[in-house]
Amino acid sequence: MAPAALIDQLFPTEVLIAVFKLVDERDRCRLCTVNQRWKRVLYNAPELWKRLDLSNRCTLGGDKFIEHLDHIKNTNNLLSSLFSQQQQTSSPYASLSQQPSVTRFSRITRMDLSCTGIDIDFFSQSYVAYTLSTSLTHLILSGCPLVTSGSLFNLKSLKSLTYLDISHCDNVDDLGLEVLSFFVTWLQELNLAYLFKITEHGIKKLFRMVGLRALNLLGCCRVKSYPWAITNAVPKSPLQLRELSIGEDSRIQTRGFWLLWCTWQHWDMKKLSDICPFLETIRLNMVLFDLPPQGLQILLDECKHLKTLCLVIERNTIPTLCSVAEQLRNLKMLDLTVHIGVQGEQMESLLAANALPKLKALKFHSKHTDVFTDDSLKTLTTQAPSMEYLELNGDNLDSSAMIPVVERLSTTLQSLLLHHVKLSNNAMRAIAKKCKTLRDLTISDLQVDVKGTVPQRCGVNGVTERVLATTEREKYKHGLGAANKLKWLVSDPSICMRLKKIELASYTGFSDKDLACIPTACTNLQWVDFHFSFTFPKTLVALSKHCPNLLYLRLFHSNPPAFYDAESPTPSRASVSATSATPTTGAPNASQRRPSSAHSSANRIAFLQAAQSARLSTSSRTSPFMASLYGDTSRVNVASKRDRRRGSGRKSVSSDVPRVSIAQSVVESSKKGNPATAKGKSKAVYKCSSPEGQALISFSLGSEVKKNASDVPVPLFNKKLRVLDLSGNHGLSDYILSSAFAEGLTNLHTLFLEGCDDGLTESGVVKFAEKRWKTLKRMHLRNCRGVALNVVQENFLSKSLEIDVVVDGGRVRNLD
Amino acid sequence: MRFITLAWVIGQLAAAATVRITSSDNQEFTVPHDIACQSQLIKNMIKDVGDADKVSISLPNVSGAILRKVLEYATMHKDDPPEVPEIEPKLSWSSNDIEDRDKQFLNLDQETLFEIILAAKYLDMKSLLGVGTKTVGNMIKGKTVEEVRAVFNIVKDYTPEEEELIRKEKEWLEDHRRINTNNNAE
Repeated sequence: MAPAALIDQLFPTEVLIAVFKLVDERDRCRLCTVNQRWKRVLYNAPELWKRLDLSNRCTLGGDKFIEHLDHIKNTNNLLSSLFSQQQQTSSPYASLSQQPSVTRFSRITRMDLSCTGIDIDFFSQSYVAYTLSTSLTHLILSGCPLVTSGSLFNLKSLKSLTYLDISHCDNVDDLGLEVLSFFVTWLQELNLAYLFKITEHGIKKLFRMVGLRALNLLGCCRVKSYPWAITNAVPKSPLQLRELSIGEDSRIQTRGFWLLWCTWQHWDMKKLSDICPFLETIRLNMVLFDLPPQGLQILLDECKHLKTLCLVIERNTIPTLCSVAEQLRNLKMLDLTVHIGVQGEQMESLLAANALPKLKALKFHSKHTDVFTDDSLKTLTTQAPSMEYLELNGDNLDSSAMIPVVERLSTTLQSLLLHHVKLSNNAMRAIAKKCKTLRDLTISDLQVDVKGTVPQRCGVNGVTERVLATTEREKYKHGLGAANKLKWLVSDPSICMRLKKIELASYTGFSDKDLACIPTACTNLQWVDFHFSFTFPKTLVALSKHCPNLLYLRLFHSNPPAFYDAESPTPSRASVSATSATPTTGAPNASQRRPSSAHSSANRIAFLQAAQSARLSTSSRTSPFMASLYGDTSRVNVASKRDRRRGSGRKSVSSDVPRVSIAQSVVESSKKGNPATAKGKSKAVYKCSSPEGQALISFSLGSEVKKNASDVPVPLFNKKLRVLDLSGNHGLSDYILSSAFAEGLTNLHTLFLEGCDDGLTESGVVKFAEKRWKTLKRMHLRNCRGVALNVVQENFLSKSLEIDVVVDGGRVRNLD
Repeated sequence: MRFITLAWVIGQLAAAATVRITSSDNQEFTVPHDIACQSQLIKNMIKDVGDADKVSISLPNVSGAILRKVLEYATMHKDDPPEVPEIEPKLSWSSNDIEDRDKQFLNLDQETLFEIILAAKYLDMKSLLGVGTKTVGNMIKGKTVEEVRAVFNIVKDYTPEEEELIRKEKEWLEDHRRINTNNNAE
């Protein structure tokens, strides 16, 4: 027998346990299989198994068919095997299962099973109940589709449970709450966010639980009135409730969904404070109601323990806030959302009353609400030095107004949203260097500093004066150009590592090459949202190479609006569909690279021009397929022109046929003629002649990345990407969709396509859906004129493949 | 004046006080008091002996080479502020915040590193033990089973069938569910 490894020879068990404590849970589970000794050590150390996390929380809403189809990944099976107590004496592997693995969970305190297909019958089984009943305190079942009202009964064996999270479990309704109140009466904290079926009647039942201290009701849109108002009787004794959250979670208000407001009836502050006098935290996120003038005063007076307050403020509320400023100062945390209609003077009156020292978050309903000037902003940050979330509209702000802000808030600021704020390069640099805890950054309408000055000799004496930079070239030369601005943002490595979410939008002045520096530097990005007036080939390639954790990607490519002055180098095109900006490089074959034009498909024209230049350039391959392509595509041009003139492309089936066949022949011939699609290679290589298309292909298939110099290169497919949203023409075609996307984006569950006119037809969509139906949950198409799903296809997609398809706002329905 | 003189003298004495430590292979090291007392074990031993002057301690469990390294670490860290004890080590970033000089110091072959960790445990030097275990933790973090075995030269002692059985149990750790430790911060 081979000698034991050094680490096993030298390390006693306790040292090994000390090492294992530093490794995260998933690694620990993996380490059980290294060798028998490690397994023994790990299984016998319950202090290493205090938390069990089997959740799929990185899935942005849960994958489709998480476990029905895949037996091995089934959480129920997994948990059964982890908790199995039976010794398999009959099996030949008896020696292996000497140690029942359930004992290692004897001290488990927290289990996270979000977004899994767990069936909570599991908790009723005797050995599980026996193990978990004394130790499990936190149970998270958020987003589990199989949690139903009746099955909550099974939790009655968990006698130590204090925290239960069943948010987003759509099947739970009032009956479920009643079940909880009867059978799991010892709960202290309950998270019921986004349960769409519960009403105030169910919540009333919950107050049977005497120990209930925290209740989260965000997003429960059917709870319309104050739960206690429906009964006139006041409860015998005040409730022990310490924490109450009502309204909507503002983090879920993503673009594309209109902001949901909660309007409550029977709001009675006096009654609330009578019933819950011990309230310490009250969150009224996005709750819009007429706050009676004394209401806030009553709340602050009666609930003497109040520490945290989240409110929506509007024009009429502000005087009230000023009058209770002193009590606001005594709070621990204040979170304000500013509704439309609040003016700058009102904000200044708030500042004058010094009501905001404990302000932690300042949000705005509309990003056009502009209340700050330089001075008031400075006052705000002086008065509220612990802000974590700041949203600003900068119409009245100077370009360097952000510098004192980030300096002041450098250790606390976590999210920064800037709308229409002019940022000088120094301000960008300050944001990058000073914000030590920044994780989310949104800058919409990013502008190149229009007031940049450059030194210039003028006059007879040769005096150097600073004048406004007028030409782009001057600006570029002196570092005022767009490229530098983005570079300053990612100049500090620590912010690059920390930044997880970034949203940038701008109409003019930037180019794809500048933007690509951001994904290259920020490798931990999970959420990316770019809205610019160019297409993104270089950025996509940079994303695929450097950002392995990307979960959400939105690329919006549109024309700058008409009112923008012609300072931008982007020439505007008088065309119907979204068009591209200037080519990213000044290559001589620039005409070849334009991905779209008004009258034909992106891909086909690219092939056409490739064919043309292939004929013209010296290194051309005048292969037969190119010539035939040229011949074919000319026919296509005519056909599609005719369709456009006809107007409605949807119902005309006849026009679909030549298009589809052409598309197919294009695909086939490109595959045939493509020397790179070699038979010997295991990985197919797809090629597209437009750089945008090629970028999409390489984005979806990923590139190979080496972790260390000595390691084997690891293929970095974009396996984690869950949501992809492409607006505007990005060169996406049937070919790319059905081949590269289908193969590379293996975990995509949501696809939004808007305005992908050229090159995309229903055949590509259907092919993609067919290949990825196991993971694809929904597909929304807007203004994709080439896509005309017929009834058979619609049925196929929505019924057989169970994909939620929405075309131009209309949901594709089943026939039955 | 006299007060200051007395304090000064005591200070001088303390600085001058050295401890003689003998390793298992009879190598002797003479180190100042304060450096030696980074080890709680030595500190307690000195207290037991009583006389703080020219104490001699023998450590039968620690070899000379390792002891030299340990004392080198202690000298490097003699001016460190006293540590706040961690009740439960934070999972996400804890293994990354090893100081550079410690990283350099522990850039050794496995045997020496492990012996240093064992010595730190024996001598009850929490900071060295922490840094050492973090280094080993970094060697394990994020690696697949084969890689871990390769790093530590561990022989696989399961038969292929057993291996398959265990692998099935651990299927849930496939890459697509594996989240980077950076994101696991809780």
